[in-house]
Amino acid sequence: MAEGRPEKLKYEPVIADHRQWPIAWLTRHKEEFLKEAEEQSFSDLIKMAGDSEGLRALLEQAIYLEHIRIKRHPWKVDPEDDQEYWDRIEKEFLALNPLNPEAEQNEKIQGLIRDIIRRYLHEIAGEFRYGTYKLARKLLPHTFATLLNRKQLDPGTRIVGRSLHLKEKIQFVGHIEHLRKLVTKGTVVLLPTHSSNLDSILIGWGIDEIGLPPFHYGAGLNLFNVRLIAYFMNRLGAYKVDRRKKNKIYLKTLKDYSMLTIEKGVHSLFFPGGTRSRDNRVESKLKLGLLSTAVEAQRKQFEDKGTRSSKVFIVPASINYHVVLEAPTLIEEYLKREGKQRYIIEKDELSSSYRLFTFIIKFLTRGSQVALSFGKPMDVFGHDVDEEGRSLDKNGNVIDIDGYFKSNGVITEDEQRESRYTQKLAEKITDQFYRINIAFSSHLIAFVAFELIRRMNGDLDLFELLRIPPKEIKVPYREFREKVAAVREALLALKEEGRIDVAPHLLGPVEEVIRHGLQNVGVFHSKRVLKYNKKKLEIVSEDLKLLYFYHNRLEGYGLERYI
Amino acid sequence: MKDIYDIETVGVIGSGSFGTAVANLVAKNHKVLLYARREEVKEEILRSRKNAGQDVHPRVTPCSDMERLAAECPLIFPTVPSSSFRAMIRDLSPFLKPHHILIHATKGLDADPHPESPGWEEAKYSRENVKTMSEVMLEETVVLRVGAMAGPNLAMELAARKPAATVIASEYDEVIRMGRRVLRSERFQVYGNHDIIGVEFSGVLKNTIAIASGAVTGLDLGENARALLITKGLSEMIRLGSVLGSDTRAFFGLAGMGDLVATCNSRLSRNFTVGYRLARGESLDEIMATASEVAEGINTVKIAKRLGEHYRVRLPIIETLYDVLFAGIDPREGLARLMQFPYGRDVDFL
Repeated sequence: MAEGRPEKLKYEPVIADHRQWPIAWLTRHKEEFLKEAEEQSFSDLIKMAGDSEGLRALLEQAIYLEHIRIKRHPWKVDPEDDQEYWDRIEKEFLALNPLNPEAEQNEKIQGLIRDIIRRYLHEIAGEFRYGTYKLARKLLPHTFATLLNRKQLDPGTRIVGRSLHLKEKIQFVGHIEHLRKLVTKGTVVLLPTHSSNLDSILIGWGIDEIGLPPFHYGAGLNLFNVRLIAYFMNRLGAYKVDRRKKNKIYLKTLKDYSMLTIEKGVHSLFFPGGTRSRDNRVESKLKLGLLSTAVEAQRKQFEDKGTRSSKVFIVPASINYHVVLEAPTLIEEYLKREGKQRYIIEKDELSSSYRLFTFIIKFLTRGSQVALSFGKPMDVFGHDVDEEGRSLDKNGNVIDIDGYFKSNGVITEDEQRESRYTQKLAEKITDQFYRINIAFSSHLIAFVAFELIRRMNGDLDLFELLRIPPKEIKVPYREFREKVAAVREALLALKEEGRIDVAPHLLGPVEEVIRHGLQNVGVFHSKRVLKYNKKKLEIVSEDLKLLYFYHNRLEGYGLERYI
Repeated sequence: MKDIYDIETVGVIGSGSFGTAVANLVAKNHKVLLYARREEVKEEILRSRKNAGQDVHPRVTPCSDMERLAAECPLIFPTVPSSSFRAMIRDLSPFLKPHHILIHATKGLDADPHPESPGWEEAKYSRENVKTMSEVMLEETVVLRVGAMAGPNLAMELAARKPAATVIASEYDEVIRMGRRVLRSERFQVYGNHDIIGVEFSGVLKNTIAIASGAVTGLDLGENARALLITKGLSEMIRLGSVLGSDTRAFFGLAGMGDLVATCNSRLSRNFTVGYRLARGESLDEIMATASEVAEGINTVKIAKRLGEHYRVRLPIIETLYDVLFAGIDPREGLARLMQFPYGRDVDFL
């Protein structure tokens, strides 16, 4: 990993004139665009339904599921007329007279579906405004910096003489120059790993920091419950994704919205893992629904624009932390729900503005680093692309990828084919996730400590292991140190092969790495994830579940064999 | 609107008996370019309209220019033996484009080191260095839409216009539809399967059992013995196939069970013939020297035995066959050994 860029060498904006930003185009043509999206979803749904029976079923499902949602999972962010709206739709649906001619009934049902699509679209669509974007962009780091200089806010923090810019805490590494070139050659779809609700803000801010025009991004609607986050999200270019809504009308509307923004050349970002990684592993199972919109958008480009089509570029990214504030909730849920259906976390450590605020303050003052790593850009089939955005085969020859959508010389729409392509793209993305994952000292020591504990209790399964009282767990320092050295060597060898990245702080003397790791691992949790008992020469943990959580970041590389 | 499956010209690579049979099948519906590497073969087909013991359909045009084949044919059937498959695909690769579809019909494996290279006895095989033909196509070309054709398709019976069916396996429905469209006729049925790796291993592994069946026939051991061999052979195929990345279901279809029944009873099968002649006292070298076409099963025995060792799967029939073929054990002795093997449960692979 290259060292973070010195502050003086700030990245210049790639597109200086904000009126030229693709997202600004979207704002200017919002109504027109939403109209097109509405038509797209409407005709897709009509096709999907097949006949009038199918249409009825679509509407019934939406009404039924929406009523359940309103009753069981109401959120602050929900519109006030939610209940009223769905009652009205239901009433109108039930009022249909079965004795009336079928065509008449169909027309009414189609009208209701159209109405629902329109409502959803207005909820999903973002409200990007340049003025507020600039303001939010400035506010974010400066607010904190200013506030932090008033010591009374956090008496425990000594911050005298320290500059408190986000910049210092966040390092940018990876294929940044390449990415900067590509934003003017086509449409970039940025796909980061997801561990914390902070990701959305950091990545939105990071995109600006490396000089890219703002991205349109899909963020969980639950985030908008927290006013502070909502403030920034709205202004940094977010659109809203509601994971509570599982009815087909919503899902299709959301997918079409995403697909059309990409097709229109608006750079987009979403978390392909869907939700935050519950166990902190590098994500290996991606949500294919949203991802398929990138493939579909590329096909539509070729279909509509022929030789003038622009390319869709896929760029995986990785956000790396020493500490994930929500870790206790996330891992708890993971363990509880292991093997069962996921549920949506409605409250966690970041679910109020105040808590978020204090977290960011701690985060900035205690020097916890974050690294944003940008992966190798590729086309929607996972091929490398050059700086002009041309796709390259394994031998470096330029290829025209429109052929992949052709059957006997003609571009065709083939859902099954595209679902296979999406699956293959997902494999390429997760492969990149592993390669651009950055090993931190905290991950390293957590990994070694947990694996040693696992080995010492060889007869226990994971759940039994995690129930051991923390007091009974002691790892001899000498062995710990030896294994840290061995795993670090293995990590460096993997880095040579391009299979992982390592933070520069991992290079020094082993004692230094351990010290750095102990200082940073899960530092804001109320329990210490790992600490060193100098008298007894032992490494101990106050919370094995958290230890497991941080350990997981280095899972999947075969490092266990060095323990 | 243009019918998207209405391909004008279909390509077939490999002018052996199976390639010729495929070309003739396709020629019922389409023009065919049949690639022959050697110029003489092309000339001979042009002159005599015969090849590999079959008449060549008038709509089949022989050709020895890969660039032309790739340029004119959006759908290509490679049918060359596994030992030269990768080299052939490498020659073809520069002319292939993303729009191409490839459906191979080769029932063999690609292994590095090559199972005929000097020192092969020392080779270690695992899925790291053993690839199916579809994997070779994906590795060596820009093509994504690949398929495999397998099933009881003895070339001579196809040439005699006897009824038969085949399986086209591919992850893509489109490839299956395309294959069906060009191959299907009143005497030839085409089934589809999404488990391409399973179908490939079915077709590949059955060749080993076909050799063993030839030996059992050559030794005149009767139908009971052959039924025993085929049944236990199938379970061996399935045990190995499932650790190699295939779904076991494919083995019960045309490509596995179907092909096994056909080749284990037929002197038209090259693999069966190898086993038969061995049992009749000829040496492997003698057989190889006089065979007109490659019996894929011989190399597959080498590879399959090593794969079994690597993945710790017991393969009594294949292991015995290996000793008979390459360690000079008499087929009778090999058989006696098999009968000693402590088989337990009848069905242990489901």
